[in-house]
Amino acid sequence: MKHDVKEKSSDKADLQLSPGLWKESLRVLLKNPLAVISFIVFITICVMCIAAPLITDWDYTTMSMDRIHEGPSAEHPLGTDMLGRDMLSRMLYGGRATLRISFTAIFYSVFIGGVIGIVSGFIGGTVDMIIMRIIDAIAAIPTIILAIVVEYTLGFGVGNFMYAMAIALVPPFVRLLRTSVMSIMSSEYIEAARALGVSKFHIIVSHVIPNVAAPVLIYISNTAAEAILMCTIIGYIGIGLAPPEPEWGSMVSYGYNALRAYPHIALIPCLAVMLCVISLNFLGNGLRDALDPSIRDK
Amino acid sequence: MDSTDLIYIENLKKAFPSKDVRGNKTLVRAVDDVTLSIKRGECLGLVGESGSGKTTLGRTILRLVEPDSGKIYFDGTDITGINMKPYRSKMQIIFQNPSGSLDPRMRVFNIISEGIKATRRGMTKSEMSAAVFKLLDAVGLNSTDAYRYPHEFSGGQQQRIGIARALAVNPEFIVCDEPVSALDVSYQSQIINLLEDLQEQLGFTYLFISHDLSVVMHISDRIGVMYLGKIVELGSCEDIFLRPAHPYTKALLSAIPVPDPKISRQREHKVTSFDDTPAGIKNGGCSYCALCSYATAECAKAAPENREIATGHFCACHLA
Amino acid sequence: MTNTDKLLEIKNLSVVFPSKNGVVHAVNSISYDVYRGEVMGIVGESGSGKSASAYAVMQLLASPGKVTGGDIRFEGKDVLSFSRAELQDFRGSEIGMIFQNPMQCLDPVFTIGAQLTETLYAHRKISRADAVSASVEMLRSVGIHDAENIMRRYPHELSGGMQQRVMIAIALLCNPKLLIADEATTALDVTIQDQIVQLLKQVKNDRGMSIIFITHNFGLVADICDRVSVMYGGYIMEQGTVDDVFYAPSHPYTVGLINAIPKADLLSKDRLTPIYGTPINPFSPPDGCVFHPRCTHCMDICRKSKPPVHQVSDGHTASCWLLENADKEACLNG
Repeated sequence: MKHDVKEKSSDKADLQLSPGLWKESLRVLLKNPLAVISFIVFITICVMCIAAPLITDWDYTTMSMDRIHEGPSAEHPLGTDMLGRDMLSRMLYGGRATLRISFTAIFYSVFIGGVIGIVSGFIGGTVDMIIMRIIDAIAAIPTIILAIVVEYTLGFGVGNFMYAMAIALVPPFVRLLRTSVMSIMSSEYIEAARALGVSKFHIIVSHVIPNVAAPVLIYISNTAAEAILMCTIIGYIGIGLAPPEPEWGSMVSYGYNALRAYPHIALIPCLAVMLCVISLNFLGNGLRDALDPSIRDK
Repeated sequence: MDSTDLIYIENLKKAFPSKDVRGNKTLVRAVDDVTLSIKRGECLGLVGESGSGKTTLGRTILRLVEPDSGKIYFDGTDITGINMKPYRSKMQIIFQNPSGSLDPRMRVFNIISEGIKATRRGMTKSEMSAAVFKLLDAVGLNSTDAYRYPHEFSGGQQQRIGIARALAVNPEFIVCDEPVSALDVSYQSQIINLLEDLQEQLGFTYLFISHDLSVVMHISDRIGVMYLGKIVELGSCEDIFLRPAHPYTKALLSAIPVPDPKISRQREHKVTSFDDTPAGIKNGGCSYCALCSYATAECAKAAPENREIATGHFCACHLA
Repeated sequence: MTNTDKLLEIKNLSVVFPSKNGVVHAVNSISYDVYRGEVMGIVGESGSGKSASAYAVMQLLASPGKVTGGDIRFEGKDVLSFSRAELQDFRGSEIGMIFQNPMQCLDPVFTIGAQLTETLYAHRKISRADAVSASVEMLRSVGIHDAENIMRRYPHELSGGMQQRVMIAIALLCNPKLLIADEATTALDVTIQDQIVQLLKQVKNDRGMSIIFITHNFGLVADICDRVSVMYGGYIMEQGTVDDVFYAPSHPYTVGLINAIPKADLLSKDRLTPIYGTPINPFSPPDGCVFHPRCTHCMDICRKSKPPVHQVSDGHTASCWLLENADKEACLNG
């Protein structure tokens, strides 16, 4: 080679591998105290709900009519509700239901929305136009009505409304993915890959998916909060799980009747929902700051 | 077409639907009936201003953009309408925007080896690393750079990575689409020298696209001047610089800033017109007619044919 | 030249941009003067701090940038001590500014006419009819023949060259004494760039205005500027008249820049001589002379301490340790 002088980057003494972008993002995320605390809070809530049988011996259906509306005590750390059931065990098992339904709904919506969004953004043209109009139509259906219709069709009270939630969460996700995929597809590195003869499948796997992963992650953490709220609202208006199955939304609604006299019955599930939603939102903001280099480097 | 031609394009046309400022639908003829040949081993410069269609022409030749009509021959084979897969490794492209043309989530190693994986199957891991390190060396980077991400490099180094990626598949023909326009002056010359060295060592054929006539003049053997989708003048550097025949070429030449204050002061600046450039093409006439200071009645009526005014010097102007 | 000829004096100006990753010293104690009726070129590559110094004059540094030291005097008045109201008045009426991307500076929802007259209302008490006629006249003077028609158009309906003309017209409306052109022709095609440069020259001569012409294009400097400051890494490497800088460059960086661009004789196929190396990391600039890692004449002292400003000849300065040695010619040429 007869280059006049080889250009070598100056700091070549260190042979260390530069950290991956994901690792770098994780490092930034861990430096954000609000995001870390939020993550710990949310994980704690999840772990407590999952480990419910280890935390409480009470059966969440056991009623005792002589001990209703009790305040916190050693026996019932969070008191009892209007049927004398242990609030702690109802909170934990109710959280199981709420979180399970919310996350299943998100899982379905991300899976379905992901496929539709990538296809729509990748193919474009008429296919994209038709898909987007269908998505617009779905987005126009109120979630509650959708939930009622789905429950009516598939059976009430056993959590079928999560399919309605999944459907309701699909449109914004498809829109996000479609625009992300389209902007990636119009970038020059995709053109370079096409010029190299890389197959469409490989372009999706090695360029499109890694590049949409970051916005998708941010979206999921923000949508999880939304899904928990949605699940609570559906439970609250009484089309959620059938009694005696506990679930935060319906617990708020039961407690609402005795709000003045015994506020803890409604406030405890409210507080749980609030903690989940706030921590997920803070986590989402932290993720956005960590994953979006244009914000991160400022 | 001649046997020394590596690339020969014939009556190539590509138009994009667009809207004018008033929202009416129009067609932008980005490449308008272009016939051109590029000899094996030469560097053909293509110069034009924004909207002249030079980038579209480069991409259409590689069939990254499908032509509306016309033929593209590579080494004598018509490659329009066929599966490009076997030809992808023979024709490559280097982009203008060094950071935008590298996937931010891929390490340099994967960026460079992507093409090798796509075209040459069954390479062992060690053969692959050897190939990548050799390419990095060829473009003046270190082998340790293979494990870094694009954003850790300067613009000039990113452009070197882009060049290494193009070289990876052993191409014969490379479209250089404004490869130095986004770079600072001191890195521009590094990249120009690198491209010249590589051509000398590996015998590449280049189509060098740029808006900067002084850069094109430096690197090219022949130059095509493009205006609104048409090649209005084509000739050797001497033809274009010393004997420009088309008024547009003359305007371009007189507009290049000269890095010499004394010459600059003596230069008379012919300001063609202060009015807005016509966005579309007027019916029938020469597309440059509205801006041309030599335009006659004939120019407004009929579009000029591309004629050979001297050996190898073509010009599309009634007055040439 | 006497002191009264000085329109703008910048002394030991420093500008920093604090950020999460550290402090960027964009401009380090630079000094330059702009005389009445001259074009001062500031040439440099990206990250050289060429724009930051001019933005500091306008007090328009993008947050979080701030001036940390130095003195800016415009006609003897201390710009850095201006109150908000004084500053507002100063910006529009004493100094005009044009930018690289005119489309981003023009408001897309107002007509060109509205934007021109608005500028007049902001700085002068003027009737509507007078404002319109003054605007039309100004558009004509920047070479827009069809001014009445253009007044009714929206920015997106105009070409880039036309938009830049409108920007120049707006900048000139209040008869500024100084025009700052920040890469004003970079986004334009070569032929349009030439027109704009010729227009700026003409405007300068007609009005006796001064221009600070910020660019990365050394060729343009030769065309329009009277004097030039070559900047690198936040420092002024060399300063002098264009003839000094082009025909007797005294700093290795200037020499490098001149050799790195194709010559005036475009047919010359001589190999270009690039400046090797990579740009400086703004967060950890090299010790000593900022240019030393890329300099082919680097000496021990260059790595250790900053070179002083050396008077090469009257009005021609350069900051390089080579100049402190008597046999500078030998160093540069050998």
